[in-house]
Amino acid sequence: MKFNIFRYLIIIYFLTITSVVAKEECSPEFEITKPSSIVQSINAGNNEKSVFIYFDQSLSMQGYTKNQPGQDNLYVNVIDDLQQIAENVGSKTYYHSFGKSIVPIKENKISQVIKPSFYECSGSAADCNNQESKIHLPFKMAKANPDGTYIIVTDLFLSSKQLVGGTLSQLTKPLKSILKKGKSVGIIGVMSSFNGTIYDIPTMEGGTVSYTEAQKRPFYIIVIGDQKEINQVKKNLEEQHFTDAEDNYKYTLITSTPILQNLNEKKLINENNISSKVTKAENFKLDYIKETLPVYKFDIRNKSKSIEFSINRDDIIVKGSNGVSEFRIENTLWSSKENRCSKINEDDWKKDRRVEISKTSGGLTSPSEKKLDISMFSTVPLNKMFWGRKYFYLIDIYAEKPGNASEETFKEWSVRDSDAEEFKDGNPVEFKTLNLTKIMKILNSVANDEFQPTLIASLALNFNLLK
Amino acid sequence: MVNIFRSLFLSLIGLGPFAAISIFFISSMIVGVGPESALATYFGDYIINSESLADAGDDFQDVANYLFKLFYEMNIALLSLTVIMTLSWSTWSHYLNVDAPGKAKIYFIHWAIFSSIFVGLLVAIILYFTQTTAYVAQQFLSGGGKTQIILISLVLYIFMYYVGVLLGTARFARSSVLFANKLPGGF
Repeated sequence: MKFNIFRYLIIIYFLTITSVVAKEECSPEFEITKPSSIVQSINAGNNEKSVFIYFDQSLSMQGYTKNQPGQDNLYVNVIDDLQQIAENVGSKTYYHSFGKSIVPIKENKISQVIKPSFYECSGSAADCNNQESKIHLPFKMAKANPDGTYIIVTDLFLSSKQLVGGTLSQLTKPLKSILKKGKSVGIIGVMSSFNGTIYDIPTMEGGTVSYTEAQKRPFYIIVIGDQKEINQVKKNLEEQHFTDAEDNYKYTLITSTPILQNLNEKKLINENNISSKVTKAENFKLDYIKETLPVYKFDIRNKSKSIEFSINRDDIIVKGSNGVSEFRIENTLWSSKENRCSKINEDDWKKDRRVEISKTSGGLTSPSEKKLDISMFSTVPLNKMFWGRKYFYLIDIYAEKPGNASEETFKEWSVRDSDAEEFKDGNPVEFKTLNLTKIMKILNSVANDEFQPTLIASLALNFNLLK
Repeated sequence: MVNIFRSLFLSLIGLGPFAAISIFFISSMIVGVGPESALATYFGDYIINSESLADAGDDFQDVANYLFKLFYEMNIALLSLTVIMTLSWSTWSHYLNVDAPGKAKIYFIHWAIFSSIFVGLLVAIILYFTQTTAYVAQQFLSGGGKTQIILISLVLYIFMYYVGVLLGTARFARSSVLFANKLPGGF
């Protein structure tokens, strides 16, 4: 008998608690949008990883190995350390050169990479590996074995005819496959001294000329792998070689997943994200309901027009990536004429039919754009809404379209095919890279094709609109 | 005194038909009209901001109680004011005693000032109900709806007041009230 009474008391207690919690939440019935998976490939530990380094053996690369008086030779220094950096990333490192084909480099010959002789060939032009630069070959290798990390050292000097049709698809197809597997491509551009000949500069007539007066010229380290490894390579290079502000280097990350994380999963949304108008409002409280959904509760006068909400760039965008050029908002607004939580029934919540309620500030492409600003109720202003009601506003923020920051980043080092001859005729000391912007555009477009709209944050506002 | 009671009685006769309309409307609002009634249809079509309500997921039925409350409280206030002002003038007009040239003009000035105060109070009450945040229902009214409420209320209660004072004003001052001297002798 005693046991039964005790059991009933427990049941009544739990029923009361459940009911109180439901009333406390004071929200209509809704489903939380599940975060879309952010595909970032995570491989086995470093110990099991292989790193493959590919050196462009074309003759135009030779100029980097010869010192230019008065200029800092970063190529020699960087390549010298690349072996060490590669070993930090993986357990075993394999070296290759590429030109017409991929040729393994014996261990005792690796040090030759920074010597001019590495790029020379005494045989006939047809037998030599330094006459062309088939950059798609290392990409093919990366596609075939995506578990490794691939580092390509090249001047990325590609003519327009290499960037169209079948030649182009030789590059884009493996790239697409790599990105699909959650891998990324980091491009580190380094302006180094140069003392040699730049070949295959296209002329207006359709032929090519060479140029020998350049004293500086950028080379590129392309890293294909997981974002973690790419960042490790970049960080090591920065720490060892690009410590001075004058060091001229650029970095971009080509990835189909420029989104770092969903903010709800780690409960990263807090009071600092929303304007002080809300945090200083009467009865302000921030609670997480349904485990991951932050709900800002407050009372606000209908004199206000909108509520600002912001997200730090670093919280959502992968550093160095192209960012996001467009965000999308999906939202639902409910209102209840009854504004006391204890009195609100499920039927009291009426769904607002307006779809466009809030606006985002635009995209996060340039690194100077530090915050994503969302102007909540900018389209349906609070002062035009019915006061005396309780509102529940649920908002999902999606990254809709990737950006193209890398095109802008590398723009100043790029020269178009059609402008190359005129540029050369100006006897430049610092030579640019042929079609670099075009290459970036191609890489971005492949990455953008693989991009999936990603939910970055969900949040809710639960407020009484006072007169 | 007999004359005063006679005036008050005549005033009430003048107020009667219009007050009946007002009382009928107030009663309907207190009881509540059905969704299919002509009044509800009229409110839905011309008085409320159906678009804003629909945006918020509501319709007329959802806010009907708030609107009815606004209407009956406003009309009770307006009717009370009109009756009080009409009877007040009817009584006070007997105490106006001017013996000077152009006295009809002086009576008229008194009546005009009194009537202006009445109209002022009438407008203030209507604006309080339709333009301030005192009533939740105010925000459900459309711009055109508010205009109609203001105009219909003014016409009804001013006309009610006029007929009331026309019949209730003391005989010697009646000519000051427009056209009053044209009334048949029995009044």
